[in-house]
Parts: sequence; C-alpha cells; structure tokens
Amino acid sequence: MSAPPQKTSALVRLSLATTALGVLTSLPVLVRETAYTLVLFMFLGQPLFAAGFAFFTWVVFRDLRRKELL
Amino acid sequence: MNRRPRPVRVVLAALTALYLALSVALAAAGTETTVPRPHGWIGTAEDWARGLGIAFALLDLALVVSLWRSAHVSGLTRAMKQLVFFAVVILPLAIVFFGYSYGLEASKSVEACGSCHTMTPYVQNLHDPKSDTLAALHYKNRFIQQNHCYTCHTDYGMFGTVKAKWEGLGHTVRYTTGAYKLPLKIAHPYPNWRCLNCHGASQKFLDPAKHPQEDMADLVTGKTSCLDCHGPPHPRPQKASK
Repeated sequence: MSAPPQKTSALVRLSLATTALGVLTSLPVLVRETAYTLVLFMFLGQPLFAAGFAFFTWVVFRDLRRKELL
Repeated sequence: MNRRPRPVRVVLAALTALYLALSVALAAAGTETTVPRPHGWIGTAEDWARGLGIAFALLDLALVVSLWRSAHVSGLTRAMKQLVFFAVVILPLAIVFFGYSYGLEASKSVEACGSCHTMTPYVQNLHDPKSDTLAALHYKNRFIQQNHCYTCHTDYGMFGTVKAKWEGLGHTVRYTTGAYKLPLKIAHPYPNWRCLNCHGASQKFLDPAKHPQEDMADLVTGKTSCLDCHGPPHPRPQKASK
C-alpha cells in the first residue's frame, strides 16, 4: 500500500524550479553552439543545477535528521 | 507503491527509446555536410552527444513540470520523491555530461569561431576563393580536414587542448562582456612548432633548396618565424564596431 501524499516542502519546489531554469539555460548550447550559449550553459546552467541539487540534498538531510536516522 | 501494468510499462519504455532515438537522428540530420553520408551512417559521437543531451533535457523539463504540478495539487508521494531525485540529480548530470561532450567539441569548429562577429573578416577570408593568405590556402585546399582555426591555434601535447580551452573560455567571456580592444592582436608570437607538427617531417620542408641546412636550427627553435616568409596568415586586422 502506498504512503499518502505529504505536504511538499518549499525547498523541494525551489529545487524543482532551479533545475527547470538550469535545463532552460543549458538547452540552447545543445541546439546551437555559440559563445553566448556556451557561457550561459557554463556560468548559469551549471550553478542552477548545483543549487537545485543542494536544496534537494538539504531536504533529504533534514528529513533523515528528523527521523533520527542521522 | 502502485506499479503500472506490464504492457503499459513496455509501451512507455518503447516510446522513451523511440523518443531518444529520434532526438539523436534529428541532431545528426541537422549537421551540415558537403559529401553524402556513407550507407548505414548512424552519426558521429558529437551528433549522439547532442541528440541525447537534447532528449534528456526535454525529458527532465517534462518531469520537473509534472512533479511541480503534483506537488502543487496533492503533494508528493514516496514514489514521486524518488522521481524528484531522478529529475534533480541524475538527469542534470547527464545533461551536463552531454552538454560538455557536444559543446566543447562543437566549439572547435570554424562556425563556432565565426559566431563572434569580431572573427567575421577572418572567416570570410577563409571562404574567399581569391584569397592567398596562409589560412585561406590551408582551408580551401583542405590541408587541414576540419576545425581549421582550432588546429592552427592549439599547442600540441598533453596540455595543448587544456590550454586552448582555457584561453578560448577567456575569449568567450571577454567577447560576451565586451572587454576587448580592436583591432584584435594575437596574444603571443605564433610559435613555429604548430606549423612543424604537420610540416616538420615533410619532403618540402626538408628540401635544402627550400630551407637551407644553416637556417634549419633557427626554424626549429623558432628564432626565425615561418610567417616571415610564408605570411601573411590572415588579412590585416580591421577596426570593427563592437
């Protein structure tokens, strides 16, 4: 039996939003490689992915501590 | 956790595989070429990196939008949280990997160099059939097969590529921020070893009638530049508006 849905943390939504922005800034370099798209991918896309990952990691860490598994 | 019936999962897996294959095929089809592809052509590693990168990016975007809607409407179940991990960690890693695989390789092409308008006169000169600059001679006679700018402006050896990428990144940032002066000047004197990497062992270079033995040491050490006799490499730099 599946667990009931839980209220979603704002950090999870922030993580999803930054990941979506990361995808949108990374996609142009794959469609057409230029100086601008490469800079966008390297200096904006990657930090956004990293931020999304960091937010999600924090949520997981917080949940584990709350359940006293850490 | 609710699992979908097997036929549905098989159809979903097949549709995903078809979507990935179509993305790669479209990326490969978009590549410019002057020679027809050989029979059975399935694209280059670059085409595959590009296609898979686009496919994963679109998959990630669809997944993130779907999870966002679920989170907004009813909250996330345990299975959905696993999908968040997939959307926020696994797929972005794949996108970054394929983005670099394609982006760094594509940045070697003449088209990539020409995408900065400051390079337009140099790229136009390469395509000019009447031009007799050294770069144009190499380009139109296909002395270099591909990535013409990159081949002549990269040092060889283990760190040549790293150095070229690092300098290229600097060029890209300066171009994007407008932190450069016109007319453009080469940062360092052009080293002979870049020429000698291809020409060093050729009969033309070793022919004493063309390169006397007494000059050879100066050519090899770079004391005498190849461009002193074989230049100019490019048209004279012009002042262009930023």
